Amino acid sequence: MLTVFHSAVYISDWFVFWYFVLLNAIYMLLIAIAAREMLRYANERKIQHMVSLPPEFMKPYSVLVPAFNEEISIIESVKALLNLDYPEYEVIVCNDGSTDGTMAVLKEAFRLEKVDVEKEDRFPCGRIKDVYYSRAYARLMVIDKENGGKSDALNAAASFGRYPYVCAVDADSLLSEDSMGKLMQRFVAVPGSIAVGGVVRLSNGAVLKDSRIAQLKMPRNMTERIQIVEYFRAFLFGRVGLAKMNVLMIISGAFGVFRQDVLSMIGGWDRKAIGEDMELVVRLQKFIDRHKQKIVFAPEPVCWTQAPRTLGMLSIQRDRWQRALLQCLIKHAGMLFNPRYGMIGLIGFPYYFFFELLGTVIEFLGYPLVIGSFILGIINLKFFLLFMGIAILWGLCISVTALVLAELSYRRYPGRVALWQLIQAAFYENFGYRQLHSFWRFKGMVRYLFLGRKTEWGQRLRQGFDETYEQETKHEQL
Amino acid sequence: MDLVTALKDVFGGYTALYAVWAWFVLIFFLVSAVVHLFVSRWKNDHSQHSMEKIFPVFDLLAEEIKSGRVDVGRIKQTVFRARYGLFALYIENNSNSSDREHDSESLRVIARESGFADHLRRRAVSGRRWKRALAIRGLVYLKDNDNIDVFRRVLEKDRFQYSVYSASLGLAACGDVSSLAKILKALYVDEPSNRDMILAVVSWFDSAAVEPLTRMLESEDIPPLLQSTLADFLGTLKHAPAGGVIARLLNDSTDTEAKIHFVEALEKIGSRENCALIESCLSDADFRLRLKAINALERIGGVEFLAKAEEVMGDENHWVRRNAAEAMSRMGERGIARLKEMALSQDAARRRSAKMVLADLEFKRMRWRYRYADSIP
Repeated sequence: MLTVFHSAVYISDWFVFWYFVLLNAIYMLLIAIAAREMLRYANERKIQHMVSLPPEFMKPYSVLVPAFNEEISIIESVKALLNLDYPEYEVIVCNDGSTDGTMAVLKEAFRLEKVDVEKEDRFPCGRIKDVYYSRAYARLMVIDKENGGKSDALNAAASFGRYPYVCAVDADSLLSEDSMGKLMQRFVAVPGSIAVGGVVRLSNGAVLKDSRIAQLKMPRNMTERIQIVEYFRAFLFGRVGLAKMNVLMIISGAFGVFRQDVLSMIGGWDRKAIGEDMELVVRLQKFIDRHKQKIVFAPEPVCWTQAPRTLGMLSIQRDRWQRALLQCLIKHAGMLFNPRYGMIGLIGFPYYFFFELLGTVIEFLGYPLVIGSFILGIINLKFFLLFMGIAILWGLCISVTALVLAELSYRRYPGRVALWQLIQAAFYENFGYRQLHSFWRFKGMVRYLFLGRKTEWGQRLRQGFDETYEQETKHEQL
Repeated sequence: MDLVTALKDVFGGYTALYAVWAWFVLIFFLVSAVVHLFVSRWKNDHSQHSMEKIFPVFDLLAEEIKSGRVDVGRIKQTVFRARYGLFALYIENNSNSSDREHDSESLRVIARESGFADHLRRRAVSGRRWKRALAIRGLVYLKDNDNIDVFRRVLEKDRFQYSVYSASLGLAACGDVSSLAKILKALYVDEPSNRDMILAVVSWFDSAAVEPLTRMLESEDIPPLLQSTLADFLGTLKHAPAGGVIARLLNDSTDTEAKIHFVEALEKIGSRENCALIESCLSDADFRLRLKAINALERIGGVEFLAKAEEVMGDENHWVRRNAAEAMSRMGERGIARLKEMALSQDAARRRSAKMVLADLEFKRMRWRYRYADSIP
């Protein structure tokens, strides 16, 4: 009996080892592709310097801002959106039955007035209570509706959008001034584009002035710093690499532009989806397969968002992300290795399924397995240390490569100290954070499979932007 | 027990050996990446500091040249080989490359006399891919007609998209209209993802390009996507003689995307003789073409198309209805009066669109407020 148990553990060890090798080989491939792409992009930026498309060619769009209990940050976000450097657009904020003062602060700050309009039956959504316009801010429209979830709010906002393109932006995010111009240029450049995603970066620690990022500063909290490295990894090599292979399955809900007629054709955002952003892109990818259209990723336009500051908030977020991934992959399981969906069926979907989803299970179970094998004497100390060392080293290599790619981007954290702090964060990430992260994600999967599949906004405590320029100046003067 | 021993042998033997190798490779990779990271940060910071120090010196030199004092010795003393990189950045920061009238004379003189221009030309010919493209782009900032031959050669021989693009910008900046056909031929590739590049280049030519482009549209067999791109440009410049050609293309084309662009161009050109053709698009199966058509008709004919717009308000597509309602709101009092009647209608589709647009009107959030801000009172 003991022999059988030992053999099982041994085979599992062997499986974990080769899974680890395969996963990292794929990461290596993604890094190589992304590095090439980022270099190309950095050079392209130099070529495109001072060359801009005349405004007549830029397509108008509607910014959709779903908001639920965002009273702390909504005003800054909406002000930033109303000041984008773009010729023609509108901002539609949808208050999804907030229980805090979101609607009240919006009414007061933008002097909103109720208007008598009716919703078109374009996208399914819950009951709309009122619609507001502002005489002071003609680009702004605010919808007040009953609570129905983020997808529901996005659908409601999109139903009122008047422009052919819609941009979904989180209410706690800030768009950089020129971001939309750069994103929309991709639609002009690639005529078959139906969706374009941009880069999301963290604004934690940044100093704001006039609702814009005035100065990038490193947050003091290690959890936030680690997340900065994570975002660099996810966007600068993960998505750039996957997009280059045309197998992108997610455009961040915080920042993506879609052609509205195509959205309308597929029924908008899925109201039952936990992760509406990924689910939408996967459905669009199915659509593309039939119509030869493209989903594009632009590595420069930046949307700044706030990352959770505490482990408690972070655990809720990651738990939700994992449930969203699982739900989406189960819903579209028919795409797995399905040649009908081209590269996405043969490469993209399997990648997300075997590495993003099952990777969590294997990583979570791998820790006790390897430690247990060591205690049982199945693997020796030499191998145990070598294996753990490689895992940590490899993780560090990937993170530092992401930082190298970030150095090519246009807004960097100033100073060499900041750079060193990021490398430190990449190192500390391996001791505790990574294991916790794995646990949260595993818990999310268990919750989804056994404890219900509720769609929600994600119970996170809302946080405002860190500091305004004025506060920062005061601190410095003191 | 045999199985365990066998597996253990493999696990503790070869695998461990490979793992040691992996350690070394990873450590080497990690150290290289960290060094690279700090070196590139140091380079960035260093070049920032150098720019702050040297740019005022370049400014002074440029001012001297502008005031007619050309001292070749001083130019060579200030802009020498080791400072070419900084001078390239200086030119980037101080040029308005899309504006042909912008004064680049002083920069040209410095570049010529210091040998910087020759350095770029050499790179433009013999550099590798990106170096070559960036050198050509550097030459574009100088807007020097002496470089036209270099740009033309690139168009003929180079296949790297960014070299071709830079050379096209160079020819556009120098106003070399005779190269326009070659530029489009070189820039246009099958299944292009560079429509923005084509538009940017032709926009740099500005009105000088309208005649040759109209001729190209008229005479040559060019793909629909390029046709639509050129029509966009000609429409934006409201080049009336192109109206007939674009109308013919609209009539003959089977490509919906291209047709949408043709209607947009005709709308901007605004010729009444094309209204019948545009009206025929109102029955097209693609709603995008229908909504472009009703917009175009209103732009060209105004209130004359009120009845047509009312008819389109019954379209099955909400977007077409909304555009028809917006068109009616721009038709003055008669249009608005009809919208008000429709806002009370039993027909939910018409009522919704009418109410929406009336509210937009009341709050001055009509789309033309942004798009056509100059032309609408």
